[in-house]
Amino acid sequence: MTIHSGMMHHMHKRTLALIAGMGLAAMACKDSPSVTDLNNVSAEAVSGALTPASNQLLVTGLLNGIRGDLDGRYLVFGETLARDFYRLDNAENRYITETLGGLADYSGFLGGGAFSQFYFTVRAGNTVLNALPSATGLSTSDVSGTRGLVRTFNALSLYRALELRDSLGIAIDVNHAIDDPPAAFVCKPNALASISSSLDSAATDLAAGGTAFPFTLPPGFTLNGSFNTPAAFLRFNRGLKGKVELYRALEHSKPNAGSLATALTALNSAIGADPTTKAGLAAGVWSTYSTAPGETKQPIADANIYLNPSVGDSILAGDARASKIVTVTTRTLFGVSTKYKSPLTDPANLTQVTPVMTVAEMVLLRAQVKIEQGDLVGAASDINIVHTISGGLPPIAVPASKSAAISAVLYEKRYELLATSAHRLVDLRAYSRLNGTWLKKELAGDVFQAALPIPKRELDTRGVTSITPTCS
Amino acid sequence: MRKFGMWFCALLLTVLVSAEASAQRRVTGRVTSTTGEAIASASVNVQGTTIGAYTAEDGRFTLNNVPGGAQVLVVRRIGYRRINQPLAATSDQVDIRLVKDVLELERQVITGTTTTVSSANSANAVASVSGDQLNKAPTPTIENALQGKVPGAVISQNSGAPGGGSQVQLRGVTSINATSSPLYVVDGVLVSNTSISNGLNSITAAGGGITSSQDQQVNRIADLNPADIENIEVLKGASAGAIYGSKASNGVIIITTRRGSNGRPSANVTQRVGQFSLSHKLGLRCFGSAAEVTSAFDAGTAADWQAAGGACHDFEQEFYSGNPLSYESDLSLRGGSGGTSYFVSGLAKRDNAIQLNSYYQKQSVTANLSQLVGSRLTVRSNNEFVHSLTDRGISGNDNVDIVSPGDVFASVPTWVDLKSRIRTPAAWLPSGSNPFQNADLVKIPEDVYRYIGSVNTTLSAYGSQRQTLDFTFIGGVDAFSYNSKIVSPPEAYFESNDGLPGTIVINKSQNVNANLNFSGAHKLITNSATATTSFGLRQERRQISSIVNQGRNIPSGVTNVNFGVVQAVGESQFLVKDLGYYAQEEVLALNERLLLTGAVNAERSSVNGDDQKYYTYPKAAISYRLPMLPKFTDELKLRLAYGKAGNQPPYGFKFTTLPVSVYGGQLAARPSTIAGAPNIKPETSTELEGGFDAQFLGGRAAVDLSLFKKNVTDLILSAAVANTSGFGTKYVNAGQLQNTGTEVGLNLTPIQRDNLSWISRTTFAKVSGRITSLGGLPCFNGGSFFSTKYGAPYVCEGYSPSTVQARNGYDTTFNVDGSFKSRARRITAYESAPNFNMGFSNEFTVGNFRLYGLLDWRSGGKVANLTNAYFDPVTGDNTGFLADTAAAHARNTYVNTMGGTYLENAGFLKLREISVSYTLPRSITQSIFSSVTQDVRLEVSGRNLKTWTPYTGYDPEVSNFSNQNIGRFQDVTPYPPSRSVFVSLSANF
Repeated sequence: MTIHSGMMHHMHKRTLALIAGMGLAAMACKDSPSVTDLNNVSAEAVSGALTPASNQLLVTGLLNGIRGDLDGRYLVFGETLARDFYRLDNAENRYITETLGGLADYSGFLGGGAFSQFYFTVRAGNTVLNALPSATGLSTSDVSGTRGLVRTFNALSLYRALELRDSLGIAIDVNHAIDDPPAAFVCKPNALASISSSLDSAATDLAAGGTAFPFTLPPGFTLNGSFNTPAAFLRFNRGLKGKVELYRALEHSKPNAGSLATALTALNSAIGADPTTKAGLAAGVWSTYSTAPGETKQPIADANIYLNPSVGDSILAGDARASKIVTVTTRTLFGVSTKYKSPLTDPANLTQVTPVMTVAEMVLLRAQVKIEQGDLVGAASDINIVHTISGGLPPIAVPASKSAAISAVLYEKRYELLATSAHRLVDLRAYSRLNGTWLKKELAGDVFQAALPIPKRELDTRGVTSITPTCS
Repeated sequence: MRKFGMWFCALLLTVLVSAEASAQRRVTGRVTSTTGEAIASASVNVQGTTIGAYTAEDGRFTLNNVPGGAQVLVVRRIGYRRINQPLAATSDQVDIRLVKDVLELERQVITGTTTTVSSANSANAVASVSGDQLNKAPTPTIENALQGKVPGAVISQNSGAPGGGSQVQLRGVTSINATSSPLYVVDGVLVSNTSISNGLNSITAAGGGITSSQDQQVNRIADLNPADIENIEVLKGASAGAIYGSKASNGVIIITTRRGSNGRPSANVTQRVGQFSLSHKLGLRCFGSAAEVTSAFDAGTAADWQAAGGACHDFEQEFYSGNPLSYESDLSLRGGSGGTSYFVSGLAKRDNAIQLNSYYQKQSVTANLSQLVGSRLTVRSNNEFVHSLTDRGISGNDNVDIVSPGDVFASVPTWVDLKSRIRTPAAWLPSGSNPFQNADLVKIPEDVYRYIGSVNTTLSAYGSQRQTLDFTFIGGVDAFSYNSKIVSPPEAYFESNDGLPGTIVINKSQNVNANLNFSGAHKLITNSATATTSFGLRQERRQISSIVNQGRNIPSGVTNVNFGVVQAVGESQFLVKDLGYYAQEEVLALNERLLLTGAVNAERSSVNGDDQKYYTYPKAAISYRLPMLPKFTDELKLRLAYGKAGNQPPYGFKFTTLPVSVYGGQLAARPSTIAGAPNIKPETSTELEGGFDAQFLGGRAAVDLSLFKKNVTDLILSAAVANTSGFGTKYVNAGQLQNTGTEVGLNLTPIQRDNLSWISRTTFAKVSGRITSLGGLPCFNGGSFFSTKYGAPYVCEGYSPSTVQARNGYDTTFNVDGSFKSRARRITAYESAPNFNMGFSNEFTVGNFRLYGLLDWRSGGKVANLTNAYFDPVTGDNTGFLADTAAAHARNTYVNTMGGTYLENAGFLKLREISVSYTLPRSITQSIFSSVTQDVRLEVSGRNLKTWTPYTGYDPEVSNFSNQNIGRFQDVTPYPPSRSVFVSLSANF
């Protein structure tokens, strides 16, 4: 065989192979190199102009956040520090060791928790607010009503964040792009002032919101009373306003002089006529839960949640709210011991509703305002509305002292609002009762922890090891 | 695209026409061992030409067209040392004797899809583990079999449960948030090492959702049958793996399965029987007196203790032992004649693991066939079918309810008789959860059917004395279906506790990896050099589709998810398309002393922000075998290699999503708290590696040393964002890390006589890593972790990527007058990675006996022993539930009062493998068995029989989060690792 012919012979095969190879390469190129996100809705779905449909989607998303934030962290941490709960979980001793047994670690789920969720929800609200100016298919009053509702709930989210961080302050001016410098932490008086002011802006928006919101609200807005129109929802807004103003007045570092009067006005308009029935007290905005796919189940339906013994031991004989307490086998763990649980945390009750804010709370807030104003008669009258209707107890006499009045309102709030928010932690701090004078020292390391720390992640991402909030 | 088309043409045109006509002759000969036995399948080549042949069964070979004049014959056979045999100008008959290569120094190192180079010339420190070394002691999976055998590899486990869940890390942490697994290539097919969750989280609530990364997932490479493996080559970094482009940054593990060979059919039958047992107990506390119980709890509890007769149940003993024997049967047959060769094998094994009712079983059938079609076309088809079925039970982290056995044992005192399956008394566990009952009732089978197959067609398009041109086409597929089903019936005590008694979770997943690989290789042999040019394209498509269905509140006795009163469904899809082109030039010159390699790979992928863009990964390497050698030195090779490789962004990182849920029947959407990176690109790893390989004393000693420096740029980070912005994290390419390291191998044959030999191997590897930049991002605790109280991974410029940040007491400041002013928690950075790893293996052969042992030593590193955090704080007097109450008390004081942590030293020395075998004399075997029996071997082998460590938990190699890059140091009530002893009988026919 000669080399030359051999080469010719093999060139032929090589050419074939080459063609085959190039063909493959061409085939390879024909297949689109792109793959879209197969698992999620793209954020681009709502990046264009806001429409009635996308407005509905995002507002429901915001409200779902508001519901979700009443979770097993915010409620359990808040209620444990306030001596209402023990969460006894063999798998997680920090529910006790970092609340009643010592300081919360700022990098763990507890010390670093119940924080980011509120800001995620605020951003959900800001997404709507930022898109409203360019909305299509929404009338001016639709836009105004939407803005009023969203601003009210953003104020609530920031208030919840503040409840657990207290004097450490919170970031308020957070409506910025991701790569902008993080918003400054402001001190508690500034934060409360800012929240209060945004509630007023929201009230103005709601007043211009027409007769109906341009979206369907979840069932919790009509479960007890109707709060599903701008005018009706304004009551919720004013109730929250009254709450914020009360705590501005009670703020130790800088009590705000005019706040009591403002609070009284706001609460009066929110409450309207004094309630006379249980339904009247229950009127308000509620979170509802469901076991349907994609839905949220009651987050504190949790077999490990027990009541602090003081809850069961302190209730008055005959108080109808004793139904919120059951006696179980004594459980001892991590050095604490209790025999009480609550049906509110019954693991089987996955659709138990939780109030966001009700008239009952507003009435008791009004009593607190009246106590600060020296109106103990008025305060007793408000306390008795709840005490008699909800507690089924004979009315209390007008307290002899401010301190006694405070004790009376705290009793009422404890059993009326058990397991619904961090209200008791806030009150114990506000009345300087989070200490050994008023409370039992639960464990050797109990320091009467008043707030959770600023999460390490927040410090790390700001490149600092501590934050001093700005105060004006 | 066009640019690469031109590449092909250019390369093809380099095919030169050159060959001189000269006198030719026919040379015959025979290759035998030093003891005179014929050696089959040895390759005999005329140096400087393409002329070659393989020896037949009788060791004989024939070479046609051998050029005239004096020549050199190069003779190679795996297991023997290569020899260059001079062939005189007048000679046409030659007998060649090969010397055994006891240290396995001679081998072919894979350098590309179809190209190889002799290990004598290789410019990289490519670790090679032969099938024989791999199977010295039976292991559940391949990764376990590699432990202690590959310098630079750290292998950790996310659970001690049977059937896998091991992760291989090569040369340190090479990524923070992108893929951590090396690339696995089986016979040219890029196979899946994905891990799929069985949905255990529905029971343990370790994380959120139906499934969680904490579900003790099995990395699916565990499906392979170790007995089918001929050889594993580990390319540890970019300098060796560059042609695998954007998937090679974590290293490449190239697995070659056994194939047939010409000659008499030979069969092997191996039967193994063994037992797994708990390798280390934590030691549970026995209460000795009523006073002790009163001190720990109260008088009422002491009365309970007395009522129980002061019993003490060793839960660990009761729960982690007593399973029946495990077995493994292997059968293989190989042979070939004419143009056909075959290897077929079958495996059936069942590991009855230590935890009550947990097991792993696997069956596989492999058929690797090769057919020569005509004289130029070879078609090879490799096929492995595997079925694996495992039930790993419940273990690991849990939250609500308490179901993890370790967690229950930390909650219930030992006087409670759990093994009687009672409902745990409410005072200890209100949910009543009992691991013995759970093990009886809760079934978690994971069933995998897998096929890995390839067709490899090689066309010898042209061949002459001086050059060859081959084209290879490989089409491969790795397809498996994964079906898991958790059936947790309402009778399980804990099930009634969430209001939805009974849970069923099914996961049905399909995985398909499809590869097309077309390549060409041209070899030009001149008197001064051999040049190998290879080039090709590789297309890959990886697809996973998973449907997870959860049903809760299930009637008793049903196994069908649709009976769940409360249902949840999840689907996840994954599709990645890659296309790459590569070209490589290798020149072997100066009498096979100098090897120069240059290569480039260009690749695009659908996961990149710009899915049209080709990212290029070049490589260059040089090695030189020194000609002038000192006394007693046989070989000294210097080598230097440089290369780049990538690590693709995880699927979905380029998208920003809109999570949608439901509220009151309305769809509810809120913007994602994770900001996607539309411009995300692969991480790039650049590695420079240098070193030497030396052989002394006639092959009796060999040393290799490698130093490497690896820079990873454009790190893919899931970076923390200030949460007050409303975001949690953002995906970015930012920052760099650098790993430097040293790897040393020392192989010795101190004794080598006919009836007595001793082979000793020592490996040493040390890697240190540092994040050299975070691209301006603030430092953060990355990955999954619990808190700095226990130890959290810390990602920060100037720190090692395996840094643990943990509490370390308080800094107290005092006023000028000495009075207390304030106290601040002190946070200290510790190192979780080992200082170094060493492996010592020794093999003694005395007559028909062989004794082999492998010691694996890890020095240093920290592990967070969260298991102690479960056992320690449960009693009022802080003495805990472990036998060593003084230690528990000290830890409680340290953690709670002094602000300390649960970090412990994690160094260890493990007797990883040990075996004694006896080969029956042939006279006996042939009389007992049959005359066709070649040899029969009896072996007793053990794995992880003994561990020496200061670590107080089960095993420092097990981490709840070892399937992530960082944070592989968190031990949370795991499935305890086990040791095993097997007796094997193996016969060759």
